[in-house]
Amino acid sequence: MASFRKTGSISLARELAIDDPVLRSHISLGVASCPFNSKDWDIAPNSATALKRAERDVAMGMSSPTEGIFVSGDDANIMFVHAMIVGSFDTPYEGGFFQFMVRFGPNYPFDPPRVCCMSSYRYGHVVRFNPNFYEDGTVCLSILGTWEGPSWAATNTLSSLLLSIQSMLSAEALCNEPGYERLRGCNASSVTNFDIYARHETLRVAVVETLRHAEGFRIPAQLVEVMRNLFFEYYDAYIESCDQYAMYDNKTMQVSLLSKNFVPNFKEIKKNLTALHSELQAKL
Amino acid sequence: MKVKIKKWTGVGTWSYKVDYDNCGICRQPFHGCCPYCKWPGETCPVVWGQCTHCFHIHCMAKWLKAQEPREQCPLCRQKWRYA
Repeated sequence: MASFRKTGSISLARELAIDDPVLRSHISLGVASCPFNSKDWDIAPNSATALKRAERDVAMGMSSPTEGIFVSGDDANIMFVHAMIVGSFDTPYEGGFFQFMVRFGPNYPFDPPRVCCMSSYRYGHVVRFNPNFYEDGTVCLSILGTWEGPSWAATNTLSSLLLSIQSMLSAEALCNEPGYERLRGCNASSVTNFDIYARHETLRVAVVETLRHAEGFRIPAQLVEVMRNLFFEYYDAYIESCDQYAMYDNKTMQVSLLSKNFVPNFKEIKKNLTALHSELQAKL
Repeated sequence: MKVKIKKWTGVGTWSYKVDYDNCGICRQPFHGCCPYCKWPGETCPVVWGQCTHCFHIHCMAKWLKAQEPREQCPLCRQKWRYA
């Protein structure tokens, strides 16, 4: 069992890396705070507290869930957790299925977990969903030690961490970025453009592509089940959102924080949503 | 009917006077012990700070060590002083 605990994470990282070119470069580049690039954690034995707390945090996440937050332990390694955050309504992220990988360290809860936003660079798409979610999957959050502000405390839990992440998926997300705070509530074009971009990519990647490739990307079956059910529930809202934003289609936009110009195509997403709907319905 | 008591055995129970059931650090109950200990009670006591928050003494010691040189209560982030 002890040797399994030591090697489990390494093999999981390798297994995932085979599928994912960005993750592969992540590991070779040595991106800090990546759950898969934690050589320091791979060799250290898990403490008694870490194992008990990790187990309890996952159990709590499953037994008393927060709205829009779903967790599932990894089959191979107790220290890895698959988490899914469903974007709240009335935000650009509404109905999106954001996948995260959380890893508890051998010294948990005295050290913060390491988190990777798997939706940012999966499925051949690289997306800056949020100023605090980098394209490489890094989640910038003070309690994770990847941002300024109040740091991790041992009383934080998996649930409180995911709640903090959920709260970042809000409208006017760009205002969370230093230098843009003043623009909150001003209806500034940079802020609304970022929201349109976030909405577009949420529908395109965090809904359509995520559901399409759910099985190929090792999203646990329980979470896939949740996604499918919610997809049918939210389907009308997705379509409504596409129709409402179709007026921005094919207009080139400059979006802050992005290196490339962005050209929305909500019509195309609507087509893909409809195709996915009938595809999933045929499977029922 | 009259009952004559011939013999009796007293039984006492004890518990910590705490506002919550679990240690905020290890999430194990106070009437139990921290994950490193086998038996609750004297060997794994509860410790209070002046901020009124309490934890298993072993959990708190580990947290303070991890926090060095800052010593804050992990719940309210005030400077930790033993009560």
